[in-house]
Amino acid sequence: MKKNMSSIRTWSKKATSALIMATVAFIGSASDIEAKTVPWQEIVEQSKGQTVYFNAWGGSEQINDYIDWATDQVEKRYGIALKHVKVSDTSSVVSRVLAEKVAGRKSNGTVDLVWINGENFRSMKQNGLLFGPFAEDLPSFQGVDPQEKPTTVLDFGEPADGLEAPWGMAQLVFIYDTDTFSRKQTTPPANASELLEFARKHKGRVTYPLPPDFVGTTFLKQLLSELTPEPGVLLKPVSEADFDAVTSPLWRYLDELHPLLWREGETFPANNLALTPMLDDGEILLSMTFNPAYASSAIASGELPETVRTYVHDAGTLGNTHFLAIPFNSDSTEAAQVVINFLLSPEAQAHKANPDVWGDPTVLSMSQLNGIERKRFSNLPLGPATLSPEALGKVLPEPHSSWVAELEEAWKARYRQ
Amino acid sequence: MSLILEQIDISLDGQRLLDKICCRVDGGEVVSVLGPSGCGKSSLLNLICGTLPNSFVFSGEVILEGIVLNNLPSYKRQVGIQFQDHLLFPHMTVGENLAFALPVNYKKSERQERVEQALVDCEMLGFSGQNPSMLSGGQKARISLMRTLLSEPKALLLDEPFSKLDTTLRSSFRHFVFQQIQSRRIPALMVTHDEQDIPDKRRVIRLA
Amino acid sequence: MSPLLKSGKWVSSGAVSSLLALGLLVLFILPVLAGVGSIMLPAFGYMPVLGFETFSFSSWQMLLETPALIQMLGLSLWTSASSTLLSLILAFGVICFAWGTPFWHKVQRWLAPLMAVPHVALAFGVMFVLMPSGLMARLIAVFAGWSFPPDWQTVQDSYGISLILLLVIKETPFLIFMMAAAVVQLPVSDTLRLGGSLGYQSGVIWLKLIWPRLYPMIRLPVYTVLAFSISVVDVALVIGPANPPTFAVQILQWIYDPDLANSLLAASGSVLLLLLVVSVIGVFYLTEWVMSRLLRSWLVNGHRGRFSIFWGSLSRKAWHGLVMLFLAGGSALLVWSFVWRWRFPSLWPDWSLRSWERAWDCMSEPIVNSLLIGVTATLAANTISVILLELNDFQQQQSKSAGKWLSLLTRGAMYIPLLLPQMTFLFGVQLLLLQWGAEGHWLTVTGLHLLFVLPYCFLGLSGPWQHYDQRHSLQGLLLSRSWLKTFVQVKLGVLWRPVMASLALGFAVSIAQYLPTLFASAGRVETVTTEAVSLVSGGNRRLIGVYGLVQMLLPFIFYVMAFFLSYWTIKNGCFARRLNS
Repeated sequence: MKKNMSSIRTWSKKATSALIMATVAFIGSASDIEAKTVPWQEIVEQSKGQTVYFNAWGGSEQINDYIDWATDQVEKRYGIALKHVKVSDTSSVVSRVLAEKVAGRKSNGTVDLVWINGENFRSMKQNGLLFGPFAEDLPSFQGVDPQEKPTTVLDFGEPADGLEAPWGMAQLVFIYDTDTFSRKQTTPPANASELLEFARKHKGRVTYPLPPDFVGTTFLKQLLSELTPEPGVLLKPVSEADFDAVTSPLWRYLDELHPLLWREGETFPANNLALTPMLDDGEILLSMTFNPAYASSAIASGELPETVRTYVHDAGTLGNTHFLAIPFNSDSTEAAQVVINFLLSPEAQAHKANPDVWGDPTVLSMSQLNGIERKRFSNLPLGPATLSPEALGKVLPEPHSSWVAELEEAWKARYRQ
Repeated sequence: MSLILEQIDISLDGQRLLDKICCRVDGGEVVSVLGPSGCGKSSLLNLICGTLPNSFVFSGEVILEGIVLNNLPSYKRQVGIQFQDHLLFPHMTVGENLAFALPVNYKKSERQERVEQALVDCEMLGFSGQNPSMLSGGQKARISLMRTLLSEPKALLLDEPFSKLDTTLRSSFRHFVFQQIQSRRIPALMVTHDEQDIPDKRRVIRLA
Repeated sequence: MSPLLKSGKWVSSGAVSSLLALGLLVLFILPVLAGVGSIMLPAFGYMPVLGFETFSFSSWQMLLETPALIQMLGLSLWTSASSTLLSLILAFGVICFAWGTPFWHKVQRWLAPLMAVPHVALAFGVMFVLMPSGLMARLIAVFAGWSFPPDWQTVQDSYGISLILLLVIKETPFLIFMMAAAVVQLPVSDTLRLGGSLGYQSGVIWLKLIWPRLYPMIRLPVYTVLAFSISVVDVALVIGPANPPTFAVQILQWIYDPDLANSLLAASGSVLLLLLVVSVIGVFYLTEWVMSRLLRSWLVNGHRGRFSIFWGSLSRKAWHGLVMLFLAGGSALLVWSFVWRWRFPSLWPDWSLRSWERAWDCMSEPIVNSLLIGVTATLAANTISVILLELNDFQQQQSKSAGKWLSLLTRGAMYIPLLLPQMTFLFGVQLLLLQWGAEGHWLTVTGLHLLFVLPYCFLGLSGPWQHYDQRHSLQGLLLSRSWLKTFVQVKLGVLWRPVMASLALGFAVSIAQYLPTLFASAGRVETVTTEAVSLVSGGNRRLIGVYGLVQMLLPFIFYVMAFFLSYWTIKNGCFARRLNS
């Protein structure tokens, strides 16, 4: 099985690198000419009347509503038509832009703005699919302090290089219902081994999203970070590590865990949001999310009971940043930048951080903001189920993004029935 | 063997079609029912074989060999029917058409024999494996009748059996039918609008 | 009567009309064949569009090394074959026990709504009923005293039972509809009378006398059901198994993988899917052939049948169950769309209008798109269908043999997109669209929809067109001396109801299209169906309820409109009943 895996890997690598070599020259030169020299005011003027197709995951009502709000704002303020293209999987956007590039569609691309990070960003960056660098020239970027929040410029170990602008912060948190827990007389597990005990005690009531779902894979990485003897290896590219040796504790753990899971680990929910109604109904006891304020906003929208709370593992949980980027062949790069600048502004970030709206933590640093701007954030309610920054504890660094594909393939080879 | 109709009334939408029909048909006899179209001839046949639609209202009794048929479903009545269309099943050979009608209690070899015998009776030996669509009109009519007879009915209904045949075939088939009825001693009721078809002028029910 | 062209002096009008018909057919079939063709080269490693320029079998090797490949193929095979067989048995059972009885009218009343409801909406509804915290479990929980949902595998089960169930609910009405259209061409009531007089019970008469003649007439529709259920993606995503999924879903995942090398894998997979469809259809045909030989002696063994009543009530119950599940699913969607909080095991939710209020703004665009595409595709499909049928009729009058040949060819061409797996040729079409930069326009989406809307409209109209008595037109032409007047006032007048029904059917087909929309729109043209499927990933049941319901209602509104228009007309500013209604 291992042999098959590596052959798939080398094959896809070969294909991708051939692709890059064939096309990288063109993009490199094109992106250098853009940006930098153009003053911001001119970009804003040019953006007027442009249409921006914003490809963003569309599975969440709160997020869709927030983007709707932004659509109204940029229309009013800048005369830009923002269109939310609701995608079910961001990787499909990457593959579409890539296909367009290789097919020679150098302008008039179908995507103008994409919500992205991690593996997908690395793939777009490596294939020269991105417009820019532009991010650090945006007026709103002044509110970002890479010293305080290093993941705003380092995306899963991959430098953002101004090709993407940070949009929101994420940290893995687990959700549970205090009411159900007190009825079952149990407490949330504090680490991987306690989680295993928990699953044994509550057979069939624990599950995680099906990898390669984003949160599902993150859960695997979280377990790996906790279980592997030397987590430092994870920060380097996977090719520099002994994959089997590093991951064997994870597989041993999962082999033990899966028979105890929901439907005996034969199948898994499609993603973390699919866990929400199951948690609500008591079909499962634990859910997980990458947005620390998600549980609070789910309470506000009626999807979860008011008794749910969140927790993190004692040793900390994985955290990262999600970004906005512009594909190279967009015809509306000016408008896309103006939209990103707006989304990065203290006003839009504060609105987004409101748990009644979306509750997505801001990428801005309070130290960089003036008094009025800071007040926007300090006035926000925390939300009943959101942990304070102190309680969120230590943020574990994401493993290098090259680990993702390897982990997903190995998982598939082992646990597909 | 006898078929008895007692005080048969049939009406549709409050309008009376048949009024107090009484009749007794003995084995080997053919009673003819004559009348213009729409007078209720077909309804009478439908009543006897149990396929009268629910919209019709009737009273009276149909008795076959001493058993009242009124409440029996069609397939339990053992009343054979011969239409003006031959209605041979196109997905079966001539032999299979005949075998289809045989009661289930015959063994395989016996079935074969009876089919052969029926083919001999209608002078069509050797046609067993033929496709029915290859037969002539007269041949189809004969096979169709033999098929009805092979199901061993206790009474036979003939619904204008000769109207679709041309004049030359008509008389020979007529002869063939009445001969079969006589030799098997089955009571038969025949609906027709052609006086020439009637075998026995004394046994006629005229409907208005 | 359709002298669309006045008979020319040098070129015979017959030749022109057949050329015109052939031209239309080629235009229709070309994208399908081009789609299949454009998948072949990439399947063997050659895809210059994406930078792969050498032939190789490596993608096939990758395909063979895919984890759980056999399970996925087996799952596709099992779900499609068993759902098709079950639907076929159920449809036949309903026909043979309902035909000619009052029950048949009830069945007929349900056919249109059942066929009109899009698969995905139905899948949502059924999911809300069957899932471990669904309506059914809640009802049981009241008596059993459960406070937590059971660990049931009632949806997305790994054997695909729930997927099969859904396909059966959806395909049985279609097969009943096709059977009903075929059965009227057989002398059913005479056969039943004759069989009864030979002592046969009606169930056995249907089985031994009618079925052998009926099946060849519905063979192609059965194969389309088979091909559809192998390559269906949207329903499989909602209610099908996930780990591993059915093979078609896996192909879609490969297509959307950011690693472009997986496009080659997807291409090889599509070819494998095509092979799968071809071989399953082959097996069905072979089985039919063998059965028709093996069962000849059973046909004439003289058994008159038993348990007729048992089978009759069984198929009646199955049909009722199917309708109940449909109604329960629809109600579940309705309820969830107005829910604020509804935790297990409560039977009564807290109500709210919030989901509708919030969804309404986002929905207007998808609804407008769906309407625009659906109406355009339906009008185009029906216009083309009528032109083709008229050309066929015209040809038939010119020369019997040529006309027969042309109509056979037309029918065959119409079945091609229905028999080929959607995944295979749509993926190929997408590659072509990508090359031409034609993605993302609503007209492109409409064009792809037409590949499916046109066949259904054509096949739906060809029956009434065949049964139309040409003497009406002849009379009309003699009286009016205008073929246009004759066509519009006489022929369309006589065939008004089937045309209205075909318009409604075409719209329903268009609304239900998922893959064609997805592939042609590049995400820019969103319809209620693509929106609904992307919402599943969010798991928000209130929103799913809203979208599922809207998706269900759109075609339903068109059915009601068509129904109304086929019975009523406006005369002097007032509604008046149509005479031939």
